[in-house]
Amino acid sequence: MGGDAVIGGLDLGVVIAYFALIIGFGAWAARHSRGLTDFLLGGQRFAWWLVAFSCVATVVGSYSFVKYSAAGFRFGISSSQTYLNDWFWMPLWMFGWLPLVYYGRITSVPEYFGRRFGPLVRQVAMLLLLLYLLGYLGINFLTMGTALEAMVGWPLLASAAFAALICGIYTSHGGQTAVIFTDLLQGALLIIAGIGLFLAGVVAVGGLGAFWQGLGPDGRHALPAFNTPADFNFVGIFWQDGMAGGIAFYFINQGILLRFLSARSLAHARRAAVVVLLVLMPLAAVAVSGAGWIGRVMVAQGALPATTPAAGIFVTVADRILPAGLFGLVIAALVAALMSTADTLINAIATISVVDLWRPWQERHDRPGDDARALTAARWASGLATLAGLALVPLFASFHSIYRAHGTFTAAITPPLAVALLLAFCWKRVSSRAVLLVLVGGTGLIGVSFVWPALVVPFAHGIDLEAGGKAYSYIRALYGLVVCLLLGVAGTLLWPARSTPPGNLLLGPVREKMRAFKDGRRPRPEPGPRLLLTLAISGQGEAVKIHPDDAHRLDAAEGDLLAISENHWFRGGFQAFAAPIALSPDTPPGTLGAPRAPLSRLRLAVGAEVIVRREL
Amino acid sequence: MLSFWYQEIIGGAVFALGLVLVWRGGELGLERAGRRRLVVLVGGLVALAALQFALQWAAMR
Repeated sequence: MGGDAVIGGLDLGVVIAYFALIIGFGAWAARHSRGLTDFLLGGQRFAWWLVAFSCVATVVGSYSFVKYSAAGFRFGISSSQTYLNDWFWMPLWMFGWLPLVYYGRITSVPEYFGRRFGPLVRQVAMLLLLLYLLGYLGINFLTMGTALEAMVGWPLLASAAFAALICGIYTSHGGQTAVIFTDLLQGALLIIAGIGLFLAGVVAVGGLGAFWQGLGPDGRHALPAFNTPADFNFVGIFWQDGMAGGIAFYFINQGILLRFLSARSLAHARRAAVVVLLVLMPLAAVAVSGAGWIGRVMVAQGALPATTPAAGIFVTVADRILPAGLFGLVIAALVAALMSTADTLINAIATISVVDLWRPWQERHDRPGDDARALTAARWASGLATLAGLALVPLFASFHSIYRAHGTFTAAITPPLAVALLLAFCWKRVSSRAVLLVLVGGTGLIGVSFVWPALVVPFAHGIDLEAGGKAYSYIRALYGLVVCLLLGVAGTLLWPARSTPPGNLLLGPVREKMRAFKDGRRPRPEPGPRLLLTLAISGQGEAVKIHPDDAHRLDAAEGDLLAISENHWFRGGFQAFAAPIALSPDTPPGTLGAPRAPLSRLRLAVGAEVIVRREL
Repeated sequence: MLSFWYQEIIGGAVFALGLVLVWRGGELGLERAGRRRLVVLVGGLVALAALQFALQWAAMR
């Protein structure tokens, strides 16, 4: 059912221009995405800043502006809690899990489970993860459709289909490369627009002093009250978002994992993570909550009625403060947040479908798929994921509260996966039986808690049981984590693993993982000096040929891994690749002899100057 | 301040456990590269905690 458009002609023009820009930008980026690695991992060539900005666009989810502005309007600064509580997991993630997947050449979480425990665990993990991602994608399309319906007055399903089509086109065509480049643009836009709106609001309410005063004593706290009210309390959000959500987001979320794996080196991936969590996330917290904080102050000053609905406060404040055109830009930022989450999910589903479903199926039927067929399968998977997500829109639209339905759904799925993964890579005695017990038994016991909420009471920290059980939608995560952990420990003690798994699948010395990554050669993780060389064709194979004198200047030896990139740092590794070095006295000094394949794939011209550096 | 201290104690325990496990793997330490990583990790924790503590404290005043 459609409705009246709330957006004016000029603003609508800005939003349409933005859609066109995104499709064009995605298509341009897709020109440099040809192989399966490009499609799934973006060729593992991007600089840290590109990964960081594109990651923020994914982190700021489809309903972030609406949800956090509403929370900021009702509760003040404490709406920023979820953006500032992920750092606790960083030692284990940055120096444990990330090196394991990066140097283990692991492309998906189910693939890790498969290598660690066998095909059955892989299939169960894949099923849970696909359910989670598809459900999440459906919610995103519904949110996008709802936003477009409100803005332009189209019927909900047509609006959702339009938004899905836009995302599906550039994601199916360009894969991870297109997603990263469009998300760079979208991440920058949503932060600039969100913070711009907040700053304009601060000026409008009379400056920083008046803003702080207008927030009121209750609105200035960084963290909410401990266990009240039932729908927004500290302890529930801490366990749901900071603990279970933190593991789910950084360790399990396929989209985020792929984003960091697209970095040109582990050092770049780690640097991106630091910038995301310490710089961009606090900025994003202001960007998504700022309109709500300003709305709260406007109510205190009498500029808005106290009865203003919290759910629409973002649009209300933007409409009050910004002139036509700029309002359209802010709405475009809202759309950017919607699309940048959906495109990442589509790419993640495509990855799992190809790596964990299509490829094993091909191998079982003695049909080893080549790169071109796998790429075609990935594109089909992207298209089908888009359609499947769209098909879920009417289902989610039938729920009384879609966010609650989605929260309930994800709360049941993420704790088992999170605990299973942490146990798998931190504890070598964990067996496939124990992990299956966590995945299947944990999901079942969480399901039981919906039927019998009394199970959650011992974990509730005094949170009120009112609001029809909604109070437990947050703290249920603690119940889920504890139950799954107990199952995992009990299962491991009952059925310990009979053999020790390979070291590269466990938390342990990163140097050993690097050595395995370099096929047994000595790793040299400290980057060497940079050198400017001229590109030449050196035939087939994987290695690049270089004169021994140049190798000496690079402090590199035979078999070391070189990073080769165009001589334009600001393109973030758009034309870059990595290759092992082969010493060749026949290659003229000052020249880099590269195989034809990467040059053709990346459109790097013979005779061009490239920056070369030893990476590992 | 109950919320703040609860977060820092539970979250700090998770952080410390991660540090210990990673330290045993050799990625953190007191030599140059390991020390730099340690400083970034602990510095990040302190920076975010300080930001939230300052806001909580300012609100109480």
